[in-house]
Parts: sequence; structure tokens; C-alpha cells
Amino acid sequence: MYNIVEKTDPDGRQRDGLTVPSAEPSQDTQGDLRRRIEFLERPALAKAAPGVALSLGIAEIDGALPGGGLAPASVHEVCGASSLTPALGFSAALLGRAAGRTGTVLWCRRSGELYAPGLTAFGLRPDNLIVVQAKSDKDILWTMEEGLRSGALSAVLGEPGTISPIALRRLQLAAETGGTMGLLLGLEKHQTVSASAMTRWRVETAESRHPLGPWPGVSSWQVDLMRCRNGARGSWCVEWRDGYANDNPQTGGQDSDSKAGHFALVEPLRHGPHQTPRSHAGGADFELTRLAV
Amino acid sequence: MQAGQISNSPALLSEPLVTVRAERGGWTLAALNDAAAVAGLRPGLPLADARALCLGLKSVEADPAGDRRVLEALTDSCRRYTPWAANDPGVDGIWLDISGCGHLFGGEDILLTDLTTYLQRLGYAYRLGVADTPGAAWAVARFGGEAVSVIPSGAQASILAPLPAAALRLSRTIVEGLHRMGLRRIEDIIGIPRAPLAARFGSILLERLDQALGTRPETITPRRPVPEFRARLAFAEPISHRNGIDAVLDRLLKTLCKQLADAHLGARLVTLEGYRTDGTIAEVSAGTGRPVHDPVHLARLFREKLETFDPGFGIDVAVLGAVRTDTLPPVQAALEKNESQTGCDDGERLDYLLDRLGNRLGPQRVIRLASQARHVPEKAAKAVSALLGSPPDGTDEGGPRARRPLRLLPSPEPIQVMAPVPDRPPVLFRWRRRPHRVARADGPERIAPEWWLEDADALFSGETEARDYYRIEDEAGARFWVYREGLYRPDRAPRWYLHGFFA
Repeated sequence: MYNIVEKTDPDGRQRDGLTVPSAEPSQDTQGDLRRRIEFLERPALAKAAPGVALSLGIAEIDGALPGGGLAPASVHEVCGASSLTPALGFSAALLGRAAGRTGTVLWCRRSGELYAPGLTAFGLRPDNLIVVQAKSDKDILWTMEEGLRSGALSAVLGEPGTISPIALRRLQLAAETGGTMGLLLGLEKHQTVSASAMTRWRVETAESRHPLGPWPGVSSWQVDLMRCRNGARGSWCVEWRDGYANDNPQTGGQDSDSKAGHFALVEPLRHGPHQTPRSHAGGADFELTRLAV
Repeated sequence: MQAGQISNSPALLSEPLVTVRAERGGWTLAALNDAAAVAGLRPGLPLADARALCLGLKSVEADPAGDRRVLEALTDSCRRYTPWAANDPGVDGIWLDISGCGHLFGGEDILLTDLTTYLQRLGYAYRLGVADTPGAAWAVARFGGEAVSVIPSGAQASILAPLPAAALRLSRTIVEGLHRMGLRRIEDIIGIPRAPLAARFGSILLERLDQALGTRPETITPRRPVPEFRARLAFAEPISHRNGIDAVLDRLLKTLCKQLADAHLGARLVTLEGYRTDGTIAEVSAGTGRPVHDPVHLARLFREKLETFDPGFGIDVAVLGAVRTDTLPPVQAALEKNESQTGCDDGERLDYLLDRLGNRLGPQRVIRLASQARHVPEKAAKAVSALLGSPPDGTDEGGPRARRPLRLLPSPEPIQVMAPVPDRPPVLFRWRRRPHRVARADGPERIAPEWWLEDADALFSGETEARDYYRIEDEAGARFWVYREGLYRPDRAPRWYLHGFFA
């Protein structure tokens, strides 16, 4: 078996023409090949400084993604199955992680329902989040493209109602030029199935859990990785453990260091451990339930 | 200084034509063309008399507001010669301060030739007067007897002397009073003692005289603010092609940015004016979030807006003015260039991006969402423009200590709720005709009206009430933020609203 090698290897040695590969294909050879294919597919990206993939902070999910996280300088799709709100929360969390401590992120949408006190739970503050309230889908796409191309932002999230494959391809090229991550948010039925996006996520709401009683807990979602280039599909149930430690005393200690919150993997919960408080005709038994916890 | 008297009817019609206005219960002549003047008509004549004097006289109703608009448009288009252009209040005239503008054209006389050809091309009859003082220019333009009269510098006393007293911009009563005293010309007034004149006619007479002669200063307020820094370019042939306009813009920006950089200033608002050949103006502005004197960045901002810049049949003068400026101290240029070709840091790139977004989408659409220390949820958030310099403080010291929804409805929507009284969370609620069975609930969190800020009357009359907020999750896992308005009262059905959504 022969292997065509480029003039310059990743390790810098000059080699020409055909070389005989070593007997057993090592992990290194595989990685080398993978890089080379990547180079052929997307020369602009390979040339750019290899940015750090955006890790979700969950080993299981990061392991399913090539590079250990969401690839920078590319566009990812997040779609909501029936309602947009869970997808909104999941992508807000991704955006918050992308912003990190020093970055700035851009969010373009049509309506202005985002609520600043709620965004802080996802690490999005007025000093790192810029919101564009666009008049039309065209403006959203233009804004996203400008934001991705400028290279001044950590990530750009847009909610264009529908998007054509050509527009998606444009965004992908802009993301490669600027080295910025793009997130496309929409309902599943509106989004086109296109090969341009790096990954495609489907987010549905999941029943939340509270360690102490029958109360709503932190945001939790059923997240399906529908498509991932060079990666595997997967399905997980994740929680966003935000900084309101009093809500969650068990994890309060580890929450304190990162106020913005973090993802956590949880077991899918079909029927909650706590019986739902169905009927409380009288207040007394409710009081008892509450005391018994 | 120069004043021009214009007549707004092009002298194209050879037949007698008059404009009339309703006055003292009848039509009287307001203005007339040359043919009508030859027929012996004068302004102020009743229309019936004029018809008797001149058969087949055409008349149209005068439109003073329209005249005013045309005159103002002409004043604006005369800003191609000087930024200091103003309407002469009350009469049909335009003031242009051409001090220091002559050299742009190669001399004052060339400027005058240019102006006369421009006015001729637009179809206006004109009378121009040029002098050291506005008063003298006004006088020779109207009483000089020539279409273009130029008073040499310092010679206004001798030139004005033979002109009638009315040339001093005086009211009719003063002129008639002077006539009764036998003072018909300006030289008559110059010769006699000043104190009795002031006593008889008031200070205005001497003021006008001194202003015309240049012994008392007179200021003219320009119609539009004059930018402190401007760059101007005139073309031999009108240009209308986009490439040409781009090239012109680049040259103007270079000149303007050089001026600004030398003055240690940066532009906050730059306006490009294209003076079209037909006397109208095309105008486009670009604003920036922080002072800038980088021609490349400003050019990029203009590129997106030039689509709205309509050169019409072509523009022959382009003026770029820095309308608003701010201090921008010079910075040491970096020795090593960054990897990016612009060589600017991230913050600068972000500002440039925001400028572009703001210019295209409107500054009110590029915002940051800030929290403020208010209890009422809808007032705890406010949008601030992202283009205003520094971002607001990121700390949420005044923010709520409890979890808040990611989406908040602009106005709470009423829901039908089944809930145990007095203050249990809902068991079932119906929103937009769809029932939701509540699986988990948390609350209430009581948010009382801010009595220290609200109108006391609204508070005591019960218009604003405390709200009990509940965080609830339905069986499908969707999380809502609902509230009951007011405390529970047995005599009243509680009102429930849906206010927001948790992710």
C-alpha cells in the first residue's frame, strides 16, 4: 500500500513522492490522514491558526465531536423539535461558553424577547453580548456574515426563519475567513438539510429534577446530535447547572467557582422520582408533603 | 459678501403673467414677469385694474410657502460655493459668505462667473452684489442697476452714496419719513448729525447705515450648521457613475481625515453632500461609535450607504463635512503589523463592526441588554445602544437573586388557571387555547409594586398590585413563569398571567 504525501509533512520533514508507510497504521498516521483530508476539503480552515474547539465540558459529548468540541470557524445548527425555547436555552449556554471571560458574542434575532436577568444565568452579560434586532431574515443573514467575517467576535448566533443551502454555504465561508463560530437556531421543520453545517443538534425539553422535592430544577434538555462531520451521532440528557447555588445545595460548592454555570450529563428521566403534586384540594396535605421532604 | 436677488419664475414666458394674492377683499398682483412689467403693471395693483390695462393677462395664485421652499432649496444648493449660506429673512434673497472661498475657484471673479452660469442654467433671473459688508452687497444687488455689481474692498461709502435711502434695508415708514425731510440718498444721510436722526427714526437707521459702511459688525446665521472640517471637490463634468463616486469619496476622505488627524480629532458623524446639476442635493451620512479618522473605515461605512445616494443627472460638486467630532489623540503606530491586514486590535475591530451594523440597520437595533436594580420584572431589563462607547458594567449587583426566565413576553398574556386557593400554584392552566397540566411548581415569589417610584394614586386605587410569581413545569417539561395579580380575595376571581419562559 502506498501513500501520497504532500511536500511538507506536519512534522516539518521534507519528503517527496511516494513513501512506504510503516507496517501498522498507528494513531499518528490516522490523525495525519485526517488532517490531510481536512486540508483538501477546507484549505482556508487548515491554513488558519488551529483554534480551540469549544468544549461542552462533558467528556461523553466532547468525545463524540472531532477535536473534542464544537469546531471553531464553522457553522453549527441547533434546532428545536416542537418549541424553540429549549433550543434557545441550549444555544444560549453554548454562546455563553464561547464568550468565556473576555470574548464578545453576537445574537441576531427578529423579536426582542430576550430577558437580560435570565441571560446572566448562561454567562451572557451586557458587556459580552451584543444583540441585533433585525427587521428581516435578509438583515439577519447579512449581520451574521459580517460578524463571522470580522473576526472580532467569539461566536455569532442567528435565528433566520429559513435558510437556503447557498446562504448557509456563504455563512460557512465567512466563518472560515474570520475564524469565528456560527450558530444557526431555528425550528426543525424550517431548517434545510444541508451538508454545509459542521454539526446539527436537535434540542427538546426534558423533565427537570430538583434534589429536594417536587419543584422545577435547573434547565434540562434532551440533546440529539443528529449529524456531525467526522464524528458520531449521539443522544444525551444534559442539564445546565447555573449559578443559583441556593437552588441546588448539593452542587453549590462546585458552582461557586464558575458563576456562569456549566453543563452536566444526567440520566434520562422518563418518570420523575417525585410524584407530581396532582391534587391539593386542601392545603394541609400539601404542607405535610413539603415537611416530609 | 454677496447677496443675490432672484425671481422664481423663469423668464421663459413671453406673455404677461402675474401671480395674485387675496388682499383686502380682492385679488391684487403679487409678482409679475417682464412682459407684464412692460405692459405697465406693478405689484400691488388690483387684478381687475390690471386686466383693464392688459388684455389677455394670465394670472395664477401666489404660493408664498412654495416660494419659500424653492428659495431654501436654492440656498442649500448654493452651499456648493460656501458652507455659510443663509436666507435673507423676509425678502427673496440669499446671503453667501464667500470670504476665503475665492481661491478654491481661482479668484472671486471666476467664482462669480461660475455662479451666474449656474443660476442661468437653472433658469433663474438674478442680481448679484459683492461687497465687504452684507448691507452694501444687499444695496448694490437691488439698486446697483447691473446684474452683477462688485464693490471693491473698502469703497462701499463712495459707491453707496448715490443710492436711494431704501437701499439701507429700512422699513417703508422710515423711508417715507426720510423723504419728507428731503433725505433721498444715502449721501444725504451720511452728511447730517447722527443724534437727531436717532432721536427721530430710532437706532435702526444708524445701525443699518453703519452695517452697510462696515463700521458696525453684522453676523449672518447660516441656514444649516457649518461643519468645522470639510473637504470639497468640483468636477469639470458631472459624475453619476458609482465608480466615480467611490473614487471621489476616497479622495475627500483622505483630505478630511488628514485635517482631522492634524487637529487630533476624530469624526463621529460625517456627511457627504453631492450637488446635483439640477440644483438639488444628494446627501448621505455615516456615524461612528467612537471618533475615527481612518479613511479606510469611513469609506467602508459609506460603501453600504451609497446605495441610497442618488446622483440624479450627475453631481458636479461634492462636499464631505465632519459634522460632529471628538478628540482623538494620536497613538504610536505599532512597529509590527498584526496578522490581519488592517493591523488593529480586537476591540477596534469590534467597534468597526458595530459601526457597520449600526449604519446599515440603525443604531437603535444594535443593542446590549442590561439589567437594572428594579423589582418589577419588565423594568429590570433595558436595552442600551451598543454604539455608545463603553459597555455597561457586567456585574449584576442589583439583579434578582432568584432565577429569571430566558424569554420574557413583551406584555403578560392572560391564562385560565385552575389553582387551589388562596395561594397554591396552578394545577392546570390554559394558554392560547392549549391546556398544560402542571407537573412541578415553585413559588410564590411575591413582587410588590415599587411604591417609592410609582404614582401613589395608582397604588392606592389598586391599579398596580403585588404579583405572586410561580415557576412551573408542565408534564412535557416546558417551563413557564406565571403570576397571579393581586392578593387572593374571596369576592373576586383571581387573574393569572403568563409572563415568561425558562429554557
